[in-house]
Amino acid sequence: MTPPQRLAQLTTTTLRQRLHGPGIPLVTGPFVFSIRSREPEVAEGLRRLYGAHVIDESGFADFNVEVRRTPGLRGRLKPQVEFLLDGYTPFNPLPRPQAFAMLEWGMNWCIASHAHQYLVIHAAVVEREGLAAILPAPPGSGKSTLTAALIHRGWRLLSDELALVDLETGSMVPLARPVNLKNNSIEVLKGFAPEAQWGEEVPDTQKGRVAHVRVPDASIAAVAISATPRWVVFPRWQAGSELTLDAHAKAQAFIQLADNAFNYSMLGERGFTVLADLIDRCDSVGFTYSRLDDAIAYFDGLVEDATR
Amino acid sequence: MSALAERWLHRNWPDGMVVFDRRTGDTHALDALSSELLLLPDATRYDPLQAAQMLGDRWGLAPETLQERVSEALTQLRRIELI
Repeated sequence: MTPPQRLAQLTTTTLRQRLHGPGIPLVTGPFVFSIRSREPEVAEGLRRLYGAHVIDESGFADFNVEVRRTPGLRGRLKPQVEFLLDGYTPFNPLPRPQAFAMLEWGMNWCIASHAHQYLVIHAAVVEREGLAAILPAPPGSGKSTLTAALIHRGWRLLSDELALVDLETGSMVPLARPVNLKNNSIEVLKGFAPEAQWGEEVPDTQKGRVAHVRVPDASIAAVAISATPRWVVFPRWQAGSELTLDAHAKAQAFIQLADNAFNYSMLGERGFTVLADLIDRCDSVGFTYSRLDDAIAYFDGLVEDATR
Repeated sequence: MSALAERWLHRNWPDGMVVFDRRTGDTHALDALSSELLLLPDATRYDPLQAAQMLGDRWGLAPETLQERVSEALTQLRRIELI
Protein backbone atom coordinates (compact mmCIF):
# COMPACT_ATOMS: atom_id res chain seq x y z
CA MET A 1 0.00 0.00 0.00
CA THR A 2 1.30 3.44 -0.92
CA PRO A 3 1.90 5.66 2.10
CA PRO A 4 -0.28 8.77 2.15
CA GLN A 5 1.17 11.90 0.66
CA ARG A 6 2.13 14.63 3.12
CA LEU A 7 1.97 18.33 2.39
CA ALA A 8 5.73 18.70 2.92
CA GLN A 9 6.29 16.41 -0.06
CA LEU A 10 4.92 19.02 -2.42
CA THR A 11 7.41 21.46 -3.88
CA THR A 12 6.82 25.13 -3.16
CA THR A 13 5.80 25.59 -6.77
CA THR A 14 3.33 22.71 -6.73
CA LEU A 15 1.88 23.90 -3.43
CA ARG A 16 1.27 27.37 -4.88
CA GLN A 17 -0.10 26.03 -8.16
CA ARG A 18 -2.59 23.82 -6.38
CA LEU A 19 -3.61 26.56 -3.97
CA HIS A 20 -4.20 28.85 -6.97
CA GLY A 21 -6.07 26.16 -8.87
CA PRO A 22 -7.91 23.04 -7.70
CA GLY A 23 -7.01 23.42 -4.03
CA ILE A 24 -5.01 21.50 -1.45
CA PRO A 25 -7.15 18.71 0.08
CA LEU A 26 -5.78 18.83 3.60
CA VAL A 27 -6.74 16.16 6.13
CA THR A 28 -7.19 17.36 9.69
CA GLY A 29 -8.62 14.68 11.92
CA PRO A 30 -11.90 13.40 10.49
CA PHE A 31 -12.24 16.29 8.04
CA VAL A 32 -10.86 17.13 4.62
CA PHE A 33 -10.53 20.81 3.83
CA SER A 34 -10.00 21.72 0.20
CA ILE A 35 -8.09 25.01 0.52
CA ARG A 36 -7.65 27.57 -2.24
CA SER A 37 -5.79 30.86 -2.00
CA ARG A 38 -3.50 33.11 -3.98
CA GLU A 39 -2.21 34.78 -0.83
CA PRO A 40 1.47 34.00 -0.16
CA GLU A 41 0.81 34.08 3.61
CA VAL A 42 -1.51 31.11 3.24
CA ALA A 43 1.01 29.06 1.28
CA GLU A 44 3.73 29.92 3.78
CA GLY A 45 1.52 29.12 6.77
CA LEU A 46 0.54 25.76 5.36
CA ARG A 47 4.15 24.94 4.51
CA ARG A 48 5.39 25.80 7.99
CA LEU A 49 2.54 24.38 10.05
CA TYR A 50 0.91 21.57 8.10
CA GLY A 51 3.91 19.83 6.51
CA ALA A 52 3.25 16.52 8.27
CA HIS A 53 -0.49 16.51 7.50
CA VAL A 54 -1.86 14.14 4.92
CA ILE A 55 -3.26 15.26 1.58
CA ASP A 56 -6.35 13.36 0.45
CA GLU A 57 -6.39 12.86 -3.30
CA SER A 58 -9.74 11.07 -3.40
CA GLY A 59 -11.48 14.15 -4.73
CA PHE A 60 -13.84 14.43 -1.76
CA ALA A 61 -13.74 17.32 0.70
CA ASP A 62 -15.96 18.11 3.66
CA PHE A 63 -15.30 21.83 3.30
CA ASN A 64 -14.30 23.79 0.20
CA VAL A 65 -12.72 26.95 1.54
CA GLU A 66 -10.89 29.89 0.06
CA VAL A 67 -9.04 32.93 1.35
CA ARG A 68 -9.00 35.60 -1.32
CA ARG A 69 -8.34 39.30 -1.81
CA THR A 70 -11.50 41.38 -1.54
CA PRO A 71 -12.48 42.75 -4.94
CA GLY A 72 -12.93 46.41 -5.84
CA LEU A 73 -11.06 49.65 -5.29
CA ARG A 74 -10.88 49.28 -1.54
CA GLY A 75 -9.15 45.94 -2.02
CA ARG A 76 -6.44 47.67 -4.06
CA LEU A 77 -5.92 50.69 -1.79
CA LYS A 78 -5.86 48.81 1.48
CA PRO A 79 -5.65 45.11 0.67
CA GLN A 80 -7.97 42.91 2.64
CA VAL A 81 -8.82 39.23 2.49
CA GLU A 82 -12.04 37.33 2.99
CA PHE A 83 -12.82 33.74 3.91
CA LEU A 84 -15.25 31.72 1.84
CA LEU A 85 -16.96 28.39 2.42
CA ASP A 86 -18.58 27.14 -0.78
CA GLY A 87 -18.60 30.72 -2.00
CA TYR A 88 -20.24 32.07 1.16
CA THR A 89 -18.45 34.69 3.25
CA PRO A 90 -19.36 34.34 6.95
CA PHE A 91 -17.01 37.06 8.24
CA ASN A 92 -16.00 40.61 7.56
CA PRO A 93 -12.72 40.96 5.65
CA LEU A 94 -9.41 41.31 7.49
CA PRO A 95 -6.13 43.03 6.55
CA ARG A 96 -4.13 40.94 4.12
CA PRO A 97 -1.26 40.04 6.53
CA GLN A 98 -3.87 38.13 8.55
CA ALA A 99 -4.68 35.78 5.66
CA PHE A 100 -3.37 32.62 7.28
CA ALA A 101 -4.87 33.43 10.67
CA MET A 102 -8.17 34.01 8.90
CA LEU A 103 -7.91 30.58 7.30
CA GLU A 104 -7.38 29.02 10.72
CA TRP A 105 -10.29 30.87 12.29
CA GLY A 106 -12.46 30.08 9.30
CA MET A 107 -11.64 26.38 9.55
CA ASN A 108 -12.63 26.49 13.22
CA TRP A 109 -15.91 28.09 12.22
CA CYS A 110 -16.59 25.42 9.59
CA ILE A 111 -16.21 22.65 12.14
CA ALA A 112 -18.06 24.39 14.96
CA SER A 113 -20.97 25.31 12.70
CA HIS A 114 -21.36 22.12 10.69
CA ALA A 115 -19.87 19.05 12.40
CA HIS A 116 -22.99 18.02 14.28
CA GLN A 117 -22.02 14.36 14.18
CA TYR A 118 -19.93 15.43 17.20
CA LEU A 119 -20.62 17.37 20.33
CA VAL A 120 -18.27 20.30 19.68
CA ILE A 121 -16.97 22.09 22.75
CA HIS A 122 -14.74 25.15 22.88
CA ALA A 123 -11.90 23.48 24.76
CA ALA A 124 -8.43 22.10 24.33
CA VAL A 125 -7.82 18.36 24.59
CA VAL A 126 -4.54 16.60 25.33
CA GLU A 127 -3.86 12.92 25.86
CA ARG A 128 -1.46 10.51 27.52
CA GLU A 129 -1.80 6.75 28.00
CA GLY A 130 -5.05 6.87 26.05
CA LEU A 131 -6.64 9.23 28.59
CA ALA A 132 -7.81 12.67 27.61
CA ALA A 133 -7.77 15.87 29.64
CA ILE A 134 -10.31 18.42 28.46
CA LEU A 135 -9.49 22.08 29.17
CA PRO A 136 -12.45 24.40 28.64
CA ALA A 137 -11.62 27.97 29.45
CA PRO A 138 -12.40 31.53 28.45
CA PRO A 139 -9.81 33.67 26.62
CA GLY A 140 -7.03 34.82 28.93
CA SER A 141 -7.16 31.72 31.11
CA GLY A 142 -3.88 30.41 29.73
CA LYS A 143 -5.51 27.39 28.08
CA SER A 144 -3.55 27.54 24.83
CA THR A 145 -0.25 28.33 26.54
CA LEU A 146 -0.70 25.37 28.83
CA THR A 147 -1.75 23.17 25.94
CA ALA A 148 1.27 24.18 23.88
CA ALA A 149 3.54 23.51 26.86
CA LEU A 150 2.02 20.07 27.49
CA ILE A 151 2.44 18.94 23.89
CA HIS A 152 6.12 19.81 24.10
CA ARG A 153 6.48 17.65 27.21
CA GLY A 154 5.10 14.34 26.01
CA TRP A 155 1.36 14.93 25.82
CA ARG A 156 -0.43 14.37 22.54
CA LEU A 157 -2.51 17.20 21.08
CA LEU A 158 -6.02 16.35 20.07
CA SER A 159 -7.13 19.94 19.74
CA ASP A 160 -6.38 23.43 20.97
CA GLU A 161 -9.76 25.01 20.25
CA LEU A 162 -12.42 22.44 19.42
CA ALA A 163 -13.02 19.33 21.50
CA LEU A 164 -14.91 16.77 19.42
CA VAL A 165 -16.92 14.20 21.36
CA ASP A 166 -18.02 11.22 19.27
CA LEU A 167 -21.79 10.85 19.73
CA GLU A 168 -21.63 7.07 19.33
CA THR A 169 -18.66 6.17 21.51
CA GLY A 170 -18.22 9.22 23.75
CA SER A 171 -14.51 9.25 22.91
CA MET A 172 -12.50 12.35 22.09
CA VAL A 173 -11.64 12.68 18.41
CA PRO A 174 -8.35 14.39 17.42
CA LEU A 175 -7.98 17.30 15.05
CA ALA A 176 -4.25 17.97 15.56
CA ARG A 177 -4.22 21.50 14.19
CA PRO A 178 -1.80 24.29 15.12
CA VAL A 179 -2.07 25.98 18.50
CA ASN A 180 -2.91 29.67 18.37
CA LEU A 181 -0.96 31.75 20.89
CA LYS A 182 -1.44 35.41 21.60
CA ASN A 183 0.64 38.32 22.88
CA ASN A 184 2.97 37.50 25.78
CA SER A 185 2.15 33.79 25.56
CA ILE A 186 4.29 33.68 22.42
CA GLU A 187 7.44 34.65 24.32
CA VAL A 188 6.48 32.42 27.26
CA LEU A 189 6.33 29.35 25.04
CA LYS A 190 9.46 30.31 23.11
CA GLY A 191 11.29 30.36 26.44
CA PHE A 192 9.71 27.14 27.65
CA ALA A 193 10.04 25.11 24.45
CA PRO A 194 12.76 26.54 22.19
CA GLU A 195 12.30 23.55 19.90
CA ALA A 196 8.76 24.59 19.01
CA GLN A 197 8.17 25.44 15.36
CA TRP A 198 6.20 28.52 14.49
CA GLY A 199 4.23 30.14 11.77
CA GLU A 200 4.65 33.83 11.02
CA GLU A 201 3.76 36.22 13.80
CA VAL A 202 0.91 38.58 12.91
CA PRO A 203 0.51 41.87 14.80
CA ASP A 204 -2.62 43.94 15.31
CA THR A 205 -5.32 41.32 14.92
CA GLN A 206 -8.57 41.56 16.86
CA LYS A 207 -6.98 39.15 19.33
CA GLY A 208 -3.74 41.15 19.51
CA ARG A 209 -0.46 39.71 18.28
CA VAL A 210 -0.91 36.09 17.26
CA ALA A 211 1.28 33.21 16.13
CA HIS A 212 0.56 29.54 15.52
CA VAL A 213 2.67 26.69 16.84
CA ARG A 214 3.14 23.61 14.72
CA VAL A 215 1.77 20.39 16.21
CA PRO A 216 4.50 17.85 17.03
CA ASP A 217 4.69 15.15 14.36
CA ALA A 218 3.83 12.43 16.90
CA SER A 219 0.41 14.01 17.44
CA ILE A 220 -0.24 14.13 13.71
CA ALA A 221 0.92 10.53 13.25
CA ALA A 222 -1.64 9.42 15.87
CA VAL A 223 -4.47 11.58 14.56
CA ALA A 224 -6.67 8.56 13.83
CA ILE A 225 -6.56 7.41 17.45
CA SER A 226 -9.32 8.65 19.72
CA ALA A 227 -8.91 9.01 23.48
CA THR A 228 -11.05 8.26 26.51
CA PRO A 229 -12.18 11.36 28.42
CA ARG A 230 -10.79 11.17 31.96
CA TRP A 231 -10.38 14.70 33.33
CA VAL A 232 -12.07 18.05 32.89
CA VAL A 233 -9.62 20.70 34.06
CA PHE A 234 -10.60 24.36 34.23
CA PRO A 235 -7.26 26.21 34.05
CA ARG A 236 -6.68 29.73 35.26
CA TRP A 237 -3.35 31.44 34.91
CA GLN A 238 -2.63 33.97 37.67
CA ALA A 239 0.67 35.81 37.93
CA GLY A 240 2.73 34.73 40.93
CA SER A 241 0.24 32.19 42.24
CA GLU A 242 1.13 28.83 43.68
CA LEU A 243 -0.58 25.88 42.06
CA THR A 244 -3.96 25.47 43.69
CA LEU A 245 -6.80 23.11 42.99
CA ASP A 246 -10.45 23.41 43.79
CA ALA A 247 -13.04 20.70 43.41
CA HIS A 248 -15.65 21.23 40.75
CA ALA A 249 -19.06 19.69 41.33
CA LYS A 250 -19.95 17.44 38.42
CA ALA A 251 -23.22 19.25 37.80
CA GLN A 252 -21.33 22.54 37.66
CA ALA A 253 -18.74 21.06 35.28
CA PHE A 254 -21.58 19.78 33.10
CA ILE A 255 -23.14 23.22 32.81
CA GLN A 256 -19.79 24.87 32.08
CA LEU A 257 -19.08 22.40 29.29
CA ALA A 258 -22.60 22.79 27.91
CA ASP A 259 -22.14 26.57 27.94
CA ASN A 260 -18.87 26.15 26.05
CA ALA A 261 -20.38 23.79 23.48
CA PHE A 262 -21.31 25.12 20.06
CA ASN A 263 -24.09 22.64 19.36
CA TYR A 264 -25.24 21.31 22.74
CA SER A 265 -28.72 22.82 22.42
CA MET A 266 -29.07 21.69 18.84
CA LEU A 267 -28.33 18.09 19.77
CA GLY A 268 -31.13 18.08 22.36
CA GLU A 269 -31.44 14.86 24.40
CA ARG A 270 -28.53 13.32 22.55
CA GLY A 271 -26.25 16.16 23.62
CA PHE A 272 -27.42 15.84 27.21
CA THR A 273 -26.76 12.10 27.34
CA VAL A 274 -23.37 12.31 25.66
CA LEU A 275 -22.22 15.13 27.91
CA ALA A 276 -23.56 13.44 31.06
CA ASP A 277 -21.70 10.25 30.10
CA LEU A 278 -18.54 12.29 29.60
CA ILE A 279 -18.88 13.93 33.02
CA ASP A 280 -19.53 10.49 34.54
CA ARG A 281 -16.20 9.29 33.23
CA CYS A 282 -14.20 12.35 34.30
CA ASP A 283 -12.80 13.93 37.42
CA SER A 284 -13.34 17.66 37.25
CA VAL A 285 -11.15 20.24 38.91
CA GLY A 286 -10.39 23.94 38.87
CA PHE A 287 -6.71 24.64 38.52
CA THR A 288 -4.83 27.90 39.13
CA TYR A 289 -1.16 28.17 38.23
CA SER A 290 1.57 30.58 37.28
CA ARG A 291 4.51 28.32 36.37
CA LEU A 292 4.27 25.93 33.44
CA ASP A 293 6.63 23.43 35.07
CA ASP A 294 4.27 23.13 38.05
CA ALA A 295 1.31 22.70 35.75
CA ILE A 296 2.99 19.96 33.78
CA ALA A 297 4.01 18.12 36.93
CA TYR A 298 0.38 18.23 38.02
CA PHE A 299 -0.87 16.82 34.72
CA ASP A 300 1.79 14.10 34.74
CA GLY A 301 0.68 13.22 38.27
CA LEU A 302 -2.89 12.78 37.06
CA VAL A 303 -1.74 10.15 34.60
CA GLU A 304 0.44 8.37 37.16
CA ASP A 305 -2.48 8.16 39.59
CA ALA A 306 -4.88 6.94 36.92
CA THR A 307 -2.59 4.24 35.57
CA ARG A 308 -1.08 3.04 38.84
CA MET B 1 -43.49 6.85 35.62
CA SER B 2 -45.55 10.02 36.03
CA ALA B 3 -46.24 12.30 33.07
CA LEU B 4 -44.06 14.89 34.75
CA ALA B 5 -41.13 12.54 35.21
CA GLU B 6 -41.36 11.58 31.54
CA ARG B 7 -40.61 15.19 30.78
CA TRP B 8 -37.14 14.97 32.22
CA LEU B 9 -33.87 13.29 31.58
CA HIS B 10 -31.62 13.55 34.58
CA ARG B 11 -28.21 12.51 35.78
CA ASN B 12 -27.55 12.41 39.49
CA TRP B 13 -24.19 12.80 41.21
CA PRO B 14 -23.43 13.03 44.95
CA ASP B 15 -22.86 16.79 44.62
CA GLY B 16 -25.90 17.61 42.50
CA MET B 17 -27.90 16.77 39.45
CA VAL B 18 -28.49 17.98 35.92
CA VAL B 19 -31.93 17.83 34.37
CA PHE B 20 -32.89 18.06 30.73
CA ASP B 21 -36.43 19.30 30.24
CA ARG B 22 -37.82 17.59 27.14
CA ARG B 23 -40.62 20.12 26.90
CA THR B 24 -38.43 23.22 26.68
CA GLY B 25 -35.04 21.76 25.70
CA ASP B 26 -33.49 23.57 28.67
CA THR B 27 -30.88 22.03 30.96
CA HIS B 28 -30.66 22.89 34.65
CA ALA B 29 -28.10 22.13 37.34
CA LEU B 30 -29.62 21.45 40.73
CA ASP B 31 -28.02 21.25 44.14
CA ALA B 32 -28.48 18.18 46.31
CA LEU B 33 -31.65 19.42 48.06
CA SER B 34 -33.42 20.45 44.84
CA SER B 35 -32.42 17.14 43.29
CA GLU B 36 -34.00 15.19 46.13
CA LEU B 37 -37.15 17.28 45.92
CA LEU B 38 -37.51 16.74 42.21
CA LEU B 39 -37.26 13.00 42.66
CA LEU B 40 -39.97 12.86 45.34
CA PRO B 41 -43.38 11.43 44.40
CA ASP B 42 -45.54 13.99 42.60
CA ALA B 43 -47.99 14.75 45.42
CA THR B 44 -45.25 15.14 48.02
CA ARG B 45 -43.19 17.33 45.77
CA TYR B 46 -45.83 20.05 45.65
CA ASP B 47 -46.34 20.33 49.41
CA PRO B 48 -43.47 21.91 51.41
CA LEU B 49 -44.63 20.33 54.68
CA GLN B 50 -44.87 16.83 53.26
CA ALA B 51 -41.65 17.22 51.35
CA ALA B 52 -39.76 18.41 54.47
CA GLN B 53 -41.26 15.51 56.43
CA MET B 54 -40.17 12.94 53.88
CA LEU B 55 -36.65 14.33 53.48
CA GLY B 56 -36.33 14.74 57.26
CA ASP B 57 -37.21 11.07 57.72
CA ARG B 58 -34.73 10.09 55.03
CA TRP B 59 -31.86 12.14 56.45
CA GLY B 60 -32.67 11.76 60.16
CA LEU B 61 -33.41 15.48 60.60
CA ALA B 62 -36.33 17.30 62.21
CA PRO B 63 -38.64 18.43 59.38
CA GLU B 64 -38.96 21.95 60.79
CA THR B 65 -35.19 22.47 60.32
CA LEU B 66 -35.64 21.82 56.61
CA GLN B 67 -38.89 23.58 55.96
CA GLU B 68 -37.59 26.99 54.99
CA ARG B 69 -34.94 25.63 52.64
CA VAL B 70 -37.44 23.22 51.13
CA SER B 71 -39.88 26.06 50.46
CA GLU B 72 -37.16 28.12 48.80
CA ALA B 73 -36.02 25.19 46.69
CA LEU B 74 -39.59 24.42 45.58
CA THR B 75 -40.09 28.05 44.62
CA GLN B 76 -36.93 27.87 42.55
CA LEU B 77 -38.05 24.64 40.85
CA ARG B 78 -41.37 26.29 39.99
CA ARG B 79 -39.60 29.36 38.67
CA ILE B 80 -37.58 27.31 36.19
CA GLU B 81 -40.75 25.36 35.39
CA LEU B 82 -39.44 21.96 36.38
CA ILE B 83 -42.51 21.43 38.55
